[in-house]
Amino acid sequence: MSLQSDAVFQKIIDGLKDNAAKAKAINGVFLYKITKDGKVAKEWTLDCKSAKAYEGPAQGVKVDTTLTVADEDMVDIALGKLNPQAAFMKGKLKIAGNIMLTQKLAPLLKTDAKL
Amino acid sequence: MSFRPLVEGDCGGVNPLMQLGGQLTRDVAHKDEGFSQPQFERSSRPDEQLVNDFLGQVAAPPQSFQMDTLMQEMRGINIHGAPQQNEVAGQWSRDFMQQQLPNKSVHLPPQHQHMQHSQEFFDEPLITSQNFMPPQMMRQPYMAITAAPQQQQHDTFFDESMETIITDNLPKVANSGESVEDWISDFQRNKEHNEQTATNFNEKFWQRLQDEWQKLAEENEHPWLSEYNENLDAYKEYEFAEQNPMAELDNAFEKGKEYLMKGDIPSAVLCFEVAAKKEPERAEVWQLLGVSQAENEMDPQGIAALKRALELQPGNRQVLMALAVCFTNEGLQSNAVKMLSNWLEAHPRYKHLLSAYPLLKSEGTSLASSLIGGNKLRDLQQVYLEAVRMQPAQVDADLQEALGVLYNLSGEFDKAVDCYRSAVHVDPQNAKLWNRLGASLANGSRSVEAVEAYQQALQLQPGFIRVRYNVGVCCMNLKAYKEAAEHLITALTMQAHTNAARELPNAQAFGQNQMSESIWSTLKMVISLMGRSELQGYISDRNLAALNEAFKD
Repeated sequence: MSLQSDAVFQKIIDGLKDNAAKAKAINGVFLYKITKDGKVAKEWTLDCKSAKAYEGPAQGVKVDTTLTVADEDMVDIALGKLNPQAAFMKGKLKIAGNIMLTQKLAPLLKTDAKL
Repeated sequence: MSFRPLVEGDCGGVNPLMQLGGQLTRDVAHKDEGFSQPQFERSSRPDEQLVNDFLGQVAAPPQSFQMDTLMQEMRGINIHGAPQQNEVAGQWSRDFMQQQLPNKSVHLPPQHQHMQHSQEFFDEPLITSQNFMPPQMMRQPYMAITAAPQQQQHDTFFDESMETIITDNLPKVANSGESVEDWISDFQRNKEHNEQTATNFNEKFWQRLQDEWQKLAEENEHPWLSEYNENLDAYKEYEFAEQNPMAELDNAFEKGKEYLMKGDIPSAVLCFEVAAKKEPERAEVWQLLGVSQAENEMDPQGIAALKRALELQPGNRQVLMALAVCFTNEGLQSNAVKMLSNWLEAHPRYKHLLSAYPLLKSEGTSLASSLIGGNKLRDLQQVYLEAVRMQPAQVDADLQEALGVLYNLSGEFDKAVDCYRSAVHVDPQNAKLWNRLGASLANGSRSVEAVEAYQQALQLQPGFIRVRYNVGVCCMNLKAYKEAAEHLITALTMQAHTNAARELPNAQAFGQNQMSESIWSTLKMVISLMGRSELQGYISDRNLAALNEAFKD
């Protein structure tokens, strides 16, 4: 089953590979639960400590933060149309665990215009 | 004569006034008669006794209003503390203390709420607010400071130290209701003691925080520490192109500048690389190389080159500005702030403004400064605003540029847009400024206006890769995926097949190193969003030709 957010995670995977140093600076393991129509459709693990990201639950590492978000919202966050903080306040993004780490993740997710 | 109605009785009885007069003039004690029999006087004449009693009563009250005795009593109170006065004082001071605590607890609820709120965030409770009754107001800033990092380890530490402080101070406060004088001196002693503990606490806190961080750094590379080290190290080495077709060129530097004039950035980059290899000690070569790489959408390379330039020429303001921009793009906020404050220091006209903000200048204790990072940003914004106000009539484009970067860092994109608009007004031929204007608009979700600004930039400099990348991102945000892909592919093609390379005979598909990774990954995302997964293969192979074919229509 292919979700729109697959593209986002592909970009993250590449981003991690290219910017391994930045990834290690974040130093966290994130588990994303992407929901579609209310049910968890897919899980992605972002292991910043080893600069890897893959589909499925975390393997062998302890998850620092778990984020649950809908497919469309994930794409909007990555496109910068939905501010992660705003999403969190509205309840579109649920975070469990170490919230501070997600702040550090933001630059990796969002495609910013470059000054 | 007129007294007659007053003194003459009305219809019979003697006038009461006259009766009173009669009383007074009556010789009660018969002294006039010279009849002195004391025993008789005292016991036998009841009305005498009554009079004496009455006179005695009237006399008694004045006795307690005698000021001398009163003064003596007061003195007695001050020195010894007369019992009944002490009671009152004790009661009053107890009441006062009780009143004080509720006042403090008024300030507690907001913090309490904050705690509750953040408690929901964390699995482990941050601080159990029940045992948290701050006797002094000074505790609360610490709450705010430590709530910010929200690192679990530090919070448990904070818990412990808070509890020790609380238990130390509560008894002191409770005992201070003995007597007026004691209470006053106690209060003063308390205040000093608490201020002392507060400052001790301050130092202790920071010391322990620093120790914790040191420990963590040794253990497993604490993120904040290692962020400084690693990120700066990652940009240390500049990676030269493997096969540079310009390698044979003699005055590569001059050639590079020519390409810049023409607006062909990728070619310029190649030339500058050659020049840098030949003359590695020449700061301006590195500077132009760094700046061009940034415009080439290769920030990591740009940072490496600019750092080299900075080493060779520490006060170069253009290098500092360019570095600040690159750091901003890479999300390294504190490094960017540092660069911009160094910029001010290097500017003869504005450096005096920094003297009011010693924190901004401090190099050392970098651990503490990263914690106050947010305030540093705001302070720096204030300083820049002051600089702008120094010359309200004349717009300094550099100042506006720097201020725009700072506003981008703090997310106040509309303000950044204002800054760049005024900068562009002063310097309309500057493609970089148009790009920054566009980027600020785009990051502030004003994508349509952003495209206009980008068009201006591209008109001035068609080979401005970064602008093309930004246009691609803009299209993607507007969900115009096809246009986005086209722009990105154009940018990549320009990088891979530079004019310079085309001029030379061996122009093969060598340009792997010259293509920007960020463009590739964004392109990948666009392709996936389009749903054209068959093209993904081309992307991983970096097969530009095929992609060009696919989007030719």
